[in-house]
Amino acid sequence: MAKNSALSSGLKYCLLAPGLLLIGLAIVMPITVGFFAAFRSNGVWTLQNFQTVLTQAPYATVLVNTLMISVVVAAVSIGMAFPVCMFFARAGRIATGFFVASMTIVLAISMLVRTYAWQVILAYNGPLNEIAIAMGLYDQKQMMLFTRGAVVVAMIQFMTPYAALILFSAMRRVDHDIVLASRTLGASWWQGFRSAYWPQVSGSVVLATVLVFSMATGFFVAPALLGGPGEAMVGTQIHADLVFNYKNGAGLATAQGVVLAFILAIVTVAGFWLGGSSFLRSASR
Amino acid sequence: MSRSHILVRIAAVAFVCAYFVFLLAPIVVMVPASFTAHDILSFPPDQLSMRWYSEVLNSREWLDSAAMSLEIAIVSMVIATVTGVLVGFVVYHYGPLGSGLRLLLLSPMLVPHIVVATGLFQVLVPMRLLGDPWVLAIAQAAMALPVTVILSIAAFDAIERSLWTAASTLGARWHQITIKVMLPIAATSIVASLILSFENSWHEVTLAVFVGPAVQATLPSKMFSFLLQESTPALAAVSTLLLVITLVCAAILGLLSIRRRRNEAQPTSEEP
Repeated sequence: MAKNSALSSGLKYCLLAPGLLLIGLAIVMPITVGFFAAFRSNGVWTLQNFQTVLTQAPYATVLVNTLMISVVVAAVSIGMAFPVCMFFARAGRIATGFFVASMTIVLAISMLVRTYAWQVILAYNGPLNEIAIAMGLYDQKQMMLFTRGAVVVAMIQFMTPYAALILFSAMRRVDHDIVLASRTLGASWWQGFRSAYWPQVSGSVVLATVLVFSMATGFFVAPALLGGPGEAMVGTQIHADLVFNYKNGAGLATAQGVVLAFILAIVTVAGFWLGGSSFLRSASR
Repeated sequence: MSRSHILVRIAAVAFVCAYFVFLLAPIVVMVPASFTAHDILSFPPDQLSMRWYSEVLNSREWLDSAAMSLEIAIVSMVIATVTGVLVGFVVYHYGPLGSGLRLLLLSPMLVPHIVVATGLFQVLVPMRLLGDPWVLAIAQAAMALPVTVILSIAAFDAIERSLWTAASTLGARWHQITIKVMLPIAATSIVASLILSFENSWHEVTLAVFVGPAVQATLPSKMFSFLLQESTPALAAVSTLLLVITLVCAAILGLLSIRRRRNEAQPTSEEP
């Protein structure tokens, strides 16, 4: 790329300044301040917050809940999206366009709207109960709302289009000739999949998993609206800490944030390690 | 085709249909339920009426909330798009960004909203700026920045460098070239940036609930509090209205992306 010599390089930083300022003010500063706030409790520098968050109830339970729910949500979201993406990856232009458009439109719908829609469906007098009873699955109406299942299902429904789009774009780039070659060399469908198809998509599967997991850990709308008290996740806990706990809430909330960020960093590194170079390639696209 | 092949095919189609039903079912259920005449949600609604729509559209609270959301979303949209376009200019004139810079600009994508919200809360409380709408707009603009930057870079990268030289040889000053040549070529990306950053702010929940205005809350924030406290079908009406707005924006974006794909095939065939 030829540099335009008519413009000075000082101008470059002037043009970049708004962007950098925005990021600095809205991302870098809050995160830094939050990081340091996690180490303060009652006005002194201490690790007390971390000890509370990692060992005491309800924080420890909440953290474990969050991780468990996020893992399940990530696994199922991607597990569901994978076959669907495989189906569409080789489809014609119209089907492909329809798939991408529908995923994008579903993603564009506000999360609150979707969460509320689940409240409608899972309600005691709602359609799902009626269908289940009509089909003979249950004898009487079940309390489906305010359960862990409701939270997990709603979160899966929210995340799976993200996973689908990531997986789909990777699957479009798959070189099917390699798979075909493996078949002509005598590989069964499963062997061909494992050795020729999977390595080409594994990077984006790992990327999608990391992404969905990260988003899931930060959720607070679905657990707050669809879950019972046993479904509290880190997001709802942080909210409660910041709003109701005037003395120590800030420290505890930011400590949870730091722990969360730390876990996510580990997961991302694990992603690099598992996915190898194809993960890097997907991530930088 | 062997028999097992056909069975697999049928199973695949069935799974795909189930997937779509799963994704769309909540919305399909919610829209008719919003037309219920009763006081509580019921599906299928046996008595239809527009009563909840009239209640919502005549309610001072909901309209003020929508207005607040709109104002914040517009400010956020302008900040995010202008900043993104400026980055596009940099890429056009100075070549691709270094990886460190790119990582920094795309960092909002990597950070969970809740971590940002928590830190922002910390920063704003001593500054007594908690709940300030401008702050929320700026924060949401930052979260939308990766999108506008990516769109912007893609658009400006596709413009030929020699176009600038040609225009200045013909006597145009830099501001004329920028306004009359470069912006029109990148127009579809700019409009897409505007729409996406608007949508990002309009739907944004986490920052709005944590650091956004509380008394005069944004629409998502208000919906959240409303859902926590009570749950009349009014919310279904609000949701359906939001859904319609979203679909309209998505349709516009879709048409734009078709147009952009056509343009990218011939980047400089546009007459300024």
